[in-house]
Amino acid sequence: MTNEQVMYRRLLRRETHAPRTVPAVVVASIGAVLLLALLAGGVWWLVDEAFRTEAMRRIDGVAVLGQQQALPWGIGAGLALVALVLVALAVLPGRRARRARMTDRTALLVDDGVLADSVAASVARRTGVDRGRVSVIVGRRSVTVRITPTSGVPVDPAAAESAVVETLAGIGFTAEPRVVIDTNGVVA
Amino acid sequence: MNATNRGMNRVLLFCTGAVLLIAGAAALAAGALSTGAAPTWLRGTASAAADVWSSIAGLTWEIPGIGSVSVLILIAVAALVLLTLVLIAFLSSRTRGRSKTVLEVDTPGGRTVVDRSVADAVLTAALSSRPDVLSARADAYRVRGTRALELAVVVQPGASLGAVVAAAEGAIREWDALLGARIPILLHLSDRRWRDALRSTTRVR
Repeated sequence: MTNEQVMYRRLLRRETHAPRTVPAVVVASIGAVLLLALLAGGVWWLVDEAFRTEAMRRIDGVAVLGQQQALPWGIGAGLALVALVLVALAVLPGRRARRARMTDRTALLVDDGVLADSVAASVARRTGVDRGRVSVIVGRRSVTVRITPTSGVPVDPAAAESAVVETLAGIGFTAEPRVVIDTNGVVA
Repeated sequence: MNATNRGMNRVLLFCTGAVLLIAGAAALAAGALSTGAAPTWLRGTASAAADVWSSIAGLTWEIPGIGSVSVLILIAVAALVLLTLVLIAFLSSRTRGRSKTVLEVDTPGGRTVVDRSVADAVLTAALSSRPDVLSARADAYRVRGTRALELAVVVQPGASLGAVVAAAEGAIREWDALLGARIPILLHLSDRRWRDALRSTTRVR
């Protein structure tokens, strides 16, 4: 494997997975602000007598509140919930709705929405159904096409399936087509 | 596309989550203890934690000229300062990797630098004028010490993707011939963004 292919592989793996930069930056910003506030409070505590007595009074008030039973339960449950969300963000793969492959010259990355548009247009052309009545959902392994036919005009599911397969093959991807034709048509 | 260290993002999220989980568990344990109906294992753990706390809190360090200072406070202050610095370093290292130049060639006669805008002009010119392309843009990035290009193309809904890819590869061949060097290119057929909804879906030529 050449150097370029190694790099393409790395690039495509990065681009098909969520970076988690936004949640990480939010968490880090909140953390940095809280820590700076704590440091400033600590210095103020050492310097200012009045601040010290005032802060002591506040802390005592919080400690009294902590004696109530509902408060620790609520705080604990809230913290645990946030913690679970953060751990899930850290651990889950976070795949993005994109498809990737390497061509001779480039690393090709296609968003699933683009594929869905293209598949819907070709299915509509092939089956003769209006584009507005073809809906396409592109999943990781399968492509689901839902067609609402014109009343009294049969739609060939095999034609729709071959349109899906050919459209995907045209750009070098494969997926299992699933065609659903609504039993109730519309008058058009 | 950039060179931000994404492993660090996940490490930060995981560590924060773990710390919050421990804090939440401690708060729940405090709630359970205050009801007086806590199970015995929780009481044992709590009393052990209280013992450790009192033994550490008693430690002091004699600093000449200042007097005795609690070791706990010293550790806490050091940890605070260190953590703050680490977080600020983390924040400032996020959007890394964008590059203004595509190629730098050093020759005895001097130094040639190819700007990103050249790549943008050459690669997108042929694509943007196509009726099945809404917009195209090229950006340069530094990835692991080498420079790479991202050619992002927003296609007209329902366009033939094979034709767009073929056109893009044609533009890339021209670019390769012009540059005289082969640099990695990521070709990205991307979803329409909200501002592309404002564009006309038909193009009259």
